[in-house]
Amino acid sequence: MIDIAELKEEFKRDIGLVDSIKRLNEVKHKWTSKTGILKNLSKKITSIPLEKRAEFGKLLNSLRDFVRGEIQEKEKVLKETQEREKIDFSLPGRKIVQGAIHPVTVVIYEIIEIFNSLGYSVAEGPEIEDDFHNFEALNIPPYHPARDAQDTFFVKGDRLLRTHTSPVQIRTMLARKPPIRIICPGKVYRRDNDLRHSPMFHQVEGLVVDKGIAFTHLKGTLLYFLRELFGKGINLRFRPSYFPFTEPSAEVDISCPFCEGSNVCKVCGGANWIEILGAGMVDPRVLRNCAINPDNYSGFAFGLGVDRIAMIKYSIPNIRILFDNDIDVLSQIN
Amino acid sequence: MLVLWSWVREFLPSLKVSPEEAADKLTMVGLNVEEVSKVENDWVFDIEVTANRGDVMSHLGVARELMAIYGLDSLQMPIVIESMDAPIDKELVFIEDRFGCRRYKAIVVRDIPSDKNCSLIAERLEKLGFSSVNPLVDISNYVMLEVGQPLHFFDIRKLSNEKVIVRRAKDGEKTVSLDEVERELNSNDLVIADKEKVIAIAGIIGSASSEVDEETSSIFIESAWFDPILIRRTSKKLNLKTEASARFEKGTDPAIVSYAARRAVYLIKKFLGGNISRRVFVVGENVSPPKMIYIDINNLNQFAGVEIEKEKVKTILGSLGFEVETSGNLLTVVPPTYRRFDVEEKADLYEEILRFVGFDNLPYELPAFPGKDAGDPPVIKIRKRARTYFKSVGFYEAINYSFVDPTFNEKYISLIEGEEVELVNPLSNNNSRMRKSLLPGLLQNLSYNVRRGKLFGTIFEIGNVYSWKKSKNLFTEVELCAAVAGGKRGTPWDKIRDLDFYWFKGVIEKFFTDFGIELDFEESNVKGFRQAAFIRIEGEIVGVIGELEVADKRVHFPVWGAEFMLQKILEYAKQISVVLPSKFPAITFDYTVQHPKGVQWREIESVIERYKSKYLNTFFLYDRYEGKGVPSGMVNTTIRFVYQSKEGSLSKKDIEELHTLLIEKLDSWRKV
Ligand SMILES: [Zn+2]
Repeated sequence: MIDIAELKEEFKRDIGLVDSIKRLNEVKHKWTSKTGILKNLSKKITSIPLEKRAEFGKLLNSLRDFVRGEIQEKEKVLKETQEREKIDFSLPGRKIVQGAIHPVTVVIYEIIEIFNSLGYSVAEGPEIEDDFHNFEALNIPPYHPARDAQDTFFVKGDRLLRTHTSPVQIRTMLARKPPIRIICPGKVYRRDNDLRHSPMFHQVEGLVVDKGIAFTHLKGTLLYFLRELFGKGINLRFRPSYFPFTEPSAEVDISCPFCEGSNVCKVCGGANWIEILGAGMVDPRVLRNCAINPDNYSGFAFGLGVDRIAMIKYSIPNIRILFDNDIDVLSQIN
Repeated sequence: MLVLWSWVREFLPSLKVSPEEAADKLTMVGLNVEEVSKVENDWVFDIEVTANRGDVMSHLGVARELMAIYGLDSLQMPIVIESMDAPIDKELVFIEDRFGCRRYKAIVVRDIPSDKNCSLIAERLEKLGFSSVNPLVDISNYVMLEVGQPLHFFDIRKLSNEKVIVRRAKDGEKTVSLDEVERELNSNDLVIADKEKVIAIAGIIGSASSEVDEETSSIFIESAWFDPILIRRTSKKLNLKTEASARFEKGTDPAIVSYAARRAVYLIKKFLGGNISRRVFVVGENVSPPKMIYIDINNLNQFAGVEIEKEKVKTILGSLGFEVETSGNLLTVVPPTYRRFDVEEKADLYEEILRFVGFDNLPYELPAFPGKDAGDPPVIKIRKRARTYFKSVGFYEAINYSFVDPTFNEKYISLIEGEEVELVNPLSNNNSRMRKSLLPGLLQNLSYNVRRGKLFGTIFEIGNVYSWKKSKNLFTEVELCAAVAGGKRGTPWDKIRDLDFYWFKGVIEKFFTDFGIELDFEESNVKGFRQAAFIRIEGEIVGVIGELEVADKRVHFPVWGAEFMLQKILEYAKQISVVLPSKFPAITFDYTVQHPKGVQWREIESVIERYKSKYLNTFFLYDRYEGKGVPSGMVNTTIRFVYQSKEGSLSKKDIEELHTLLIEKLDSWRKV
């Protein structure tokens, strides 16, 4: 005898376990398909004794109705759930909270990394300096015309705000013997304030002192450095210049990496060259001031304004913007 | 400095190059031509003259460089008056300061007609940006621009006698100079005087009282050599830079003193007329003669990094006017009179040689260094970690000026001792003090951003603060890291947590725990804060945290601020050693204590610490709630307790008993 009640319980178990359309289809297949349980039961009706057929038919009908009803109900619920959990891939992702490092710092880190890879160390020194380290030791005696180019903020006595990071070179040379390979990043101060000059800005200077250092080494080092910083495609131009602490001295230009087509370039103004740093062979007077014998040692030094490089790199038109600390500007740096 | 191409060409009649090409060549030997512009049928070069090259501050100087560039044999010098039959008068000049003035040529010219002029000279001057004054003044400027020797003409009528004295000024002595400014002098200043008064501040500017004017018919021409440092010192002190002082302070050519005066007389006689009446040439102490400099070709080659032939070296130096004698690889070189101030030793000659070989003609060579230098200072790493950390938790790095408004230092706390450092010559009063805290600057950045519509600010800075200890005259710089935050970041959609104080504290704490450092917070009254606590590590105050006072009314939300000494992290950082978690399951209970709001978390903590059993692995604040359902003034604090042992599984029953004991203590403490 076929126990319809037991079958109903079995179906209840089956439908109870359904949590997806896929599972529901499995249940449908098991119960309502052409080869399913319900179909099989209808086929079996002929094997039922005549007197019980009517009752069996009734029970079967009620089971069929129940099964279909349950399946329909389940289908509806499942579709609703699916609808509800549907992802809208066009909705914006929630904001990821992340700040930014200042563009000037970003450039300083890039420079440090390049020179670290060449074996240079970072050296640092005070921002409030004295006349000796900032000027005299660098071959800029009192009343030297070169002092005009570095209009100085004075503190008390002979103290001043350093006008370049060169005093760090002096301190390093006084503190230890060659070989020396350092870069000196830091804040420097000059009494200038206009669209291109800020009374505080950032420099990175480099110094190498060793036996047998030649002018060609300076050229090779700067070519490597500037190509790492601005791209392999750039070329350099060395123009003779003057700094009291280097001899010979050069202004170094890079071929403009931003020139495109025939439009007048905003960065170089169509000159094709951008003045990027000052450099030279360490003046023997400076070596002597640091108790290093220029007959045995030679060296080179270079210095560049980081703020200007950050402005060039990030197309920032005005140096003030660097010190406004506007979140809408900073958030674009990554 | 402006230079007229046609004028330069007068010195080099055989030079056949375009002005653009010449400009380019000049730039590449170090006379940076910033601009070449066409003026009428001539060209004006704007040349940037470096501080060492006083010798090129004239058309003659520029012509000399071109002569060397193009390997020309000689210069065509301007015509001067050849025979001067006027008598020499030793009484005309008396040099009292023989150090300050080492050469002085004086020529007196009389009977100069006042109805003549010289348009050629005036035109040239005007093209070079000099306004034509009167024919005589124009001639003195013309000669200066031509050969680099500044001249001064006095009107003889206006002198008390026909004798000038070169002396130091008396302390407090005054004179009204040509620019109609009265200037007070002292004994550091060199002056030209007659018997009664100062008639010029030597080498800088003449006095109005002896000025040449339209009616001048007799003049006293001064051409002199003054000590560069003396001129510069006075020029700096008076804050007065003139065409003359710009040349004298760099060292003029002592050999051209007399020539320039005779050139002026030639031009006066040619264009205006007049008669030379008397003249004299007086010398003071010697202008130190050019030094002999020795260079070894081998050393030069090592310095340059390439071989440069001896003949080439000789040619370059020769074309620049240096006398060169060779013996084997050794060269003995004597600079010309006009280069003695910037060429003093070997390296200076190397520069002359290399700039004419061409820096761009030398190869590039990356030196191969063995190993590394000393290594970066350890703070570099800490700084970089701080930046990366604050960036990762949503802060933007600011860089502010180190000099601030005086009120900044007054109103805010400083973590460093000592007085503030004041600038002697600030750009303005609100930039006159070196900062003692980074917080006021960051607060200003926050206001700036709020004023531009930002609804929040999360800003940090790493930088120095400065102080001065009077007793030791010691300047101190301490590196701080500071952060401010406040407002509402993101939208409800973004589901970003509120920037409340406990979030901010979490930001600061996590930075330190990453270095294995635990912080203590000690509530204190701190200048510039509404409420604040000092941050301590192992008892030492290393920073401060709290709610800042905000003056800007537009900042409508509370602003949290913290500042700490970066160096302290180096001192206290510990190597983190991993604590292995227990392999056995943990049993957790949550319990809520209701207590007055004034009860501090640390009190609850200490009760638990005191009575906890050894199986309590950890406990922490699960949540705090006040509001509906909690009596006012009270707060519900929910604590989560985690029991776990490393030795084995704990039975729930045992733990329940232990935990109940702890809860009883907590409850009875609360009732006290
Ligand atoms: Zn360009």
